Amino acid sequence: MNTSNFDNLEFRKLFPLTEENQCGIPNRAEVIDQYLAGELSDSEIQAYDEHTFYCETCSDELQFRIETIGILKRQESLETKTARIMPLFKRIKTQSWPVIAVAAVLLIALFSWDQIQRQQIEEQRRLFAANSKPSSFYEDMLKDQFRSDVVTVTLPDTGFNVKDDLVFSYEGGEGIKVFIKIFNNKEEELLMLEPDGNTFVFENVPQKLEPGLYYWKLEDEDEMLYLGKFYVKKP
Amino acid sequence: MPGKDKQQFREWIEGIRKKNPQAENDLARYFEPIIRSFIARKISDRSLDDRNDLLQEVQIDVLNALRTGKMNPENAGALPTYVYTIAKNKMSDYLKREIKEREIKTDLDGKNIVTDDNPETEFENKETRKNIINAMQKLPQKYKQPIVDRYIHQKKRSEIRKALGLKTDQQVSDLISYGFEQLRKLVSKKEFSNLFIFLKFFSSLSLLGRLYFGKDYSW
Repeated sequence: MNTSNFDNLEFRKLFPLTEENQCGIPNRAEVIDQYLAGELSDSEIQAYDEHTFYCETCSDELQFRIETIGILKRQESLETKTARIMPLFKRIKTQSWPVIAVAAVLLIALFSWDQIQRQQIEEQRRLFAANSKPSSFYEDMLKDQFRSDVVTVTLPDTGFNVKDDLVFSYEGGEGIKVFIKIFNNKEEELLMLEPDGNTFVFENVPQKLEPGLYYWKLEDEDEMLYLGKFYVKKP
Repeated sequence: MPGKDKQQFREWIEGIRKKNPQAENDLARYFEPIIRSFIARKISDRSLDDRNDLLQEVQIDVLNALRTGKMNPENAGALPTYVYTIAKNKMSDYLKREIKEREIKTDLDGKNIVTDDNPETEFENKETRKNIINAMQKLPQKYKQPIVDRYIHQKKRSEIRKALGLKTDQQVSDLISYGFEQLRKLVSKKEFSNLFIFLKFFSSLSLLGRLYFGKDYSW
């Protein structure tokens, strides 16, 4: 390693020091600037690096500038990244307002429609639950298997789920005038049908009755001949 | 900031030869910021760990060389050149090692390593870094802009000169230098202000001590 006499060191010709080992570079600001901008030649860089090992002022100044430039670079990088994203927002802001407004309205409408649908379904469920609560009075009668000796009901089966038409059919009881009465689960009479013959078709039941549990009676003028029940499902 | 004189260097070299720990400590402390600055300039984008490792390697090599009498105290005036040469060689070794590691990794992966164009750089002193950021926000645009143009947008001095209507390139460098000087003042002001708050806090404690316990807790 060359440790030749201090006074003969080459770097001092380019970047001098004073006798007190202080910075003697006349255009110091320019040298530092060109050093950091990478505009010095390789030999100049080496010479200036060597100078900084003697000159604390230059070494310290370079350290401060390097740190500052590092921070600036990082900020610039962040700003560049932000700048890449911002035009997208600006374009949306300036050009697409009508589209956004229409989209928002559609979205709100869709959401509202969905909410209404949900509410309706919920209401139907609630109603069906209320309408399907069995009547203890009629259920007790059913348990006793109330049957008549006069007629034999063939349709509908007890607990039949009605989705469309409901067919009432019975055998026997020739010459007797009978009625079919329909009650809801609250034992309220809703309808009275007069069959002409042993079979009667009650059409489109779900359109005439709310979903729920119903009881039906076959009666003649004096007594109840039969008690049955059926469920109406939503159409 | 005056540099150390030849006599001081000579005392250190002779002291280290005699295994004097104080001389070793003084020499290490004196050259630490200088070596650190050099390393930061050469590999500012590497991790702080890497830079600290390199700093230690340089310090150890310098001390070992001086302990074994590789430098003649007669040449004490050239001690900074001696340290610089060791630092330069270490830097060169580091870069060669890094290239070799990359080559090995490239061979293993079968593809080139993607380097980060803008890595997060850690700084030695986080408080100083914070102060620099605050100071930069206060620095007038007319000083900040030339610095940004020159070192971030990598513009030539002639371009900045024309944009600012200056007469010579030297004036651009001077303006940049003045900008950094102002920035530094703002940073020092902030650091001084922090120190002032710190001292104020302890003087308040001392006053409270006197009031409540009748004792003087100042030092």
